[in-house]
Amino acid sequence: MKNLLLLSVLVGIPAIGSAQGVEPADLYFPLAEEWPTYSGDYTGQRYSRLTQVTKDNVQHLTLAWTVRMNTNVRTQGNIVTVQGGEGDGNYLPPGANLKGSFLMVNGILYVTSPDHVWAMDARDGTELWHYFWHSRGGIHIGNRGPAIWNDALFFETPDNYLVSLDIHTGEENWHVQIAPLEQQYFSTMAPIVVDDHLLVGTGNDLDSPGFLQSFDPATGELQWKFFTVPQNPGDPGLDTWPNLDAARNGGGQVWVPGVFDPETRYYIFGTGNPTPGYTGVARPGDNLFTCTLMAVNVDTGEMAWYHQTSPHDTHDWDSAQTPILIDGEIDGQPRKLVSTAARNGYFFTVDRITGESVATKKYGTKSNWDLGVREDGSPIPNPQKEAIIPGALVSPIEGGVANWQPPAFNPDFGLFYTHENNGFNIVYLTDPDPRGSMGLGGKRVAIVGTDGNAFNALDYRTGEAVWRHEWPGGAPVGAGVLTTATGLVFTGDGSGNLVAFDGENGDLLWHSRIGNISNGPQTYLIDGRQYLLAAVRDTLFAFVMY
Amino acid sequence: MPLIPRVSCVLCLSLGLAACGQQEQVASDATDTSPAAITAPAAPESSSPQAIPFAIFPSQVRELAAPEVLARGETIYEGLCRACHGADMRGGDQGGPNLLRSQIVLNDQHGELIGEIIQNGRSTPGMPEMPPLQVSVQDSVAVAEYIHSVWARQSGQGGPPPGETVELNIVVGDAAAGEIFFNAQCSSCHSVAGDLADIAARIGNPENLQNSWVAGRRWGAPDPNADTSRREVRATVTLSNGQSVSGRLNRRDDFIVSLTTDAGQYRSFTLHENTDPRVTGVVIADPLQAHRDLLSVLTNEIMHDVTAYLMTLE
Repeated sequence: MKNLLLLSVLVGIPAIGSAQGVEPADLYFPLAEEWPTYSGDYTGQRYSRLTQVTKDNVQHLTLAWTVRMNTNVRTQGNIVTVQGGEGDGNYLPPGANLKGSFLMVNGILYVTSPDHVWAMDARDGTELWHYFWHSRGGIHIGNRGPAIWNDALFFETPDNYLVSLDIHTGEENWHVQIAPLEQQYFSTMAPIVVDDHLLVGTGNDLDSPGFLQSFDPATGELQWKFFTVPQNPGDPGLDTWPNLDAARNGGGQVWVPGVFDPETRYYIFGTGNPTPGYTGVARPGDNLFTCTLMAVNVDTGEMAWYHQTSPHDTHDWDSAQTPILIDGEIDGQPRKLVSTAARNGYFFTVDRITGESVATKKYGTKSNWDLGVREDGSPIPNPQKEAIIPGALVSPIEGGVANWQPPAFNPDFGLFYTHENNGFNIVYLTDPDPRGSMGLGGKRVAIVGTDGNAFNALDYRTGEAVWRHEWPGGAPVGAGVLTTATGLVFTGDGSGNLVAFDGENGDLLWHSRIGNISNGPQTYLIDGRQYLLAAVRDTLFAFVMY
Repeated sequence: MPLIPRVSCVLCLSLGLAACGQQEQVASDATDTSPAAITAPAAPESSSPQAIPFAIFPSQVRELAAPEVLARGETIYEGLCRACHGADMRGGDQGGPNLLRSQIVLNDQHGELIGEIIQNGRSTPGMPEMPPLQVSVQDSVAVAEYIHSVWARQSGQGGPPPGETVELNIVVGDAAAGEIFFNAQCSSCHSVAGDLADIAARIGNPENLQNSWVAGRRWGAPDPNADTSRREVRATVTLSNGQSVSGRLNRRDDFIVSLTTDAGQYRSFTLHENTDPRVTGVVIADPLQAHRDLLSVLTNEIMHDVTAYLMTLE
């Protein structure tokens, strides 16, 4: 409270009660002035209706502010860090690592990094409060961002807690454990608010089952828990595993936010790889519902449909990528669709009411691990490309053709934008035990080159590239994508540039060499001005159109 | 008492090596893929705060039981548990499940969960039945502590503890077929009597040799006598005034190309702009392009054949 009064004086933000958070109903609106949920809105399109920045003036974007996030735990001064956590204080705060989507509501930006949350003035980057979570451990690979429900902000921690903060002060409302650290779960996902549900996922490498959970955003009470792999005799999908023990230890983690279809009340998301990851010998079969695009009813936690995007994966190629809802037209008929560009190099469009396959197309032009596509639209893995003792030459590498970084869709052009990373590695089986290895063990990998990394604009109806831009720098790209109603596409190029394309034809219109973009660029409008926000590891850059 | 991480540097590096199942793209073009940004923690003697390791789980910072307890636990495990759960605890011939990924084992602290099952047995639908064992409470705790001590040696990313080293032969190809491919595809740049003479002996291990020849750069210990100029990427920029500038490529993206001329002068050129003079052409000559082109062409079989052939060059 002391903090807040101080802040009110310093930066002139209204005191508690007058600034409102995000009402759940606000999330049903298409992405425009604010950025109130992970993808900006429920479609996952990352298509902003803001129109100030155009193809004609994008080169006049000006740097409004840049801030390197302050991870110090401060006990005096203007900002006093609010501290929480279940750890015993033996770990120093980790450096900032901005690999998520940040929320902009009422002129305030909410930014996360593993164990850290900041509120900032979105106009000039002034820090308003800082929260630090004392960790018990877990893999500190990234945090995909916060969620807001009314005046509460939520984020997940690497040691598997869901934390609720007061958005005005950063003071903690409550925290609950969402998975046991002892079983080597670790959590990175941005929670997703749907009405009075807070959807939460976790990660794990150690042959533990994946699940999606829904919590009451007011209290943190568990509403339902949906396992992505069979847990009991008779569970659906069990016939795609050799036995219950394999299924129960089968992975399928839920670690990237999905999308929500208000019409059907389906939350649609992708699941991670089966485990053991590289040694599929002890889990013959498709291994449902790993590497699967699926719809779960948000009110009941029951699965409505599934479409497996990588049956029997043996390369750690999660299919967790955020899918995109598309109201499109197929053969002259209006269709409700959902599309995803999977880590394995395949693009999928399916009917989002039924899960029926509409299109399956390889967009990873060098991907060499498959034997074509089944009648049901799922690709067929080539056993020769699994880890073998003398080495299998495989593309893509473990990181995949695409990864967690969000793609975008521009409905004006019908184009789905995704990066295409074409690394090659030789994968050696080092643990030929017929029981399989554990986790991601049992293999050794040598990255031997990369051949033509590119950015793609795919026709959502077919997955065919309408345009494709090969990066001359040759480096793989780990940036997300943003598109706008003015036909622009923003992303990173792997050579240190934030770039703007003409989304219709792939012409490059603007760039700024601020470093390799570590998240998806975002945009918002304050005081009549459009901002463009991008992160480079520990630093935020906000451009503005004057 | 504060936790004292007992994690060895080797473990931390291996944990950091590929991050996790959420492994992301990294612009890694080095033979050593361990990320420089991840620092292994020193084992501290004091309780002062330290940098958090990239990955740390309770089983890796667990305080192990006294050696005599572990020895007792091992003896009982060998006698009563091994047949079902395996010598390495990863499951045995009689159908016992892998203990090292068992939720009960992972949740157990000091035998309170494992001991209960040893004492009372366990029956789970769809799983083999575990009978109660005639073991004292103290001994069942010793078994639990022994299991924890084995699991504490886990590799990164959920991998099992290292087992006995198994010799795996990766040289399975047909050397004669490899020689035919080499003569057709590689001999315009490489010679088995010249740059590749004794290559198998120089690189030493067949896996490193295979990685090296496919990638076009050396795996394993660097060769101090290597002629690095052979792999130099050259750029030639032509300008609208008719000039052209050549040199070693420093960097190229869609907007800038920069090079260092043979005279040692750094030059950079803006692309896509109305500069005067204007860049009219950029030609990149990368000696490794032929290796990159091979990546999409090589089958496992050809790759193994060429490796087998190169292994004859001792």
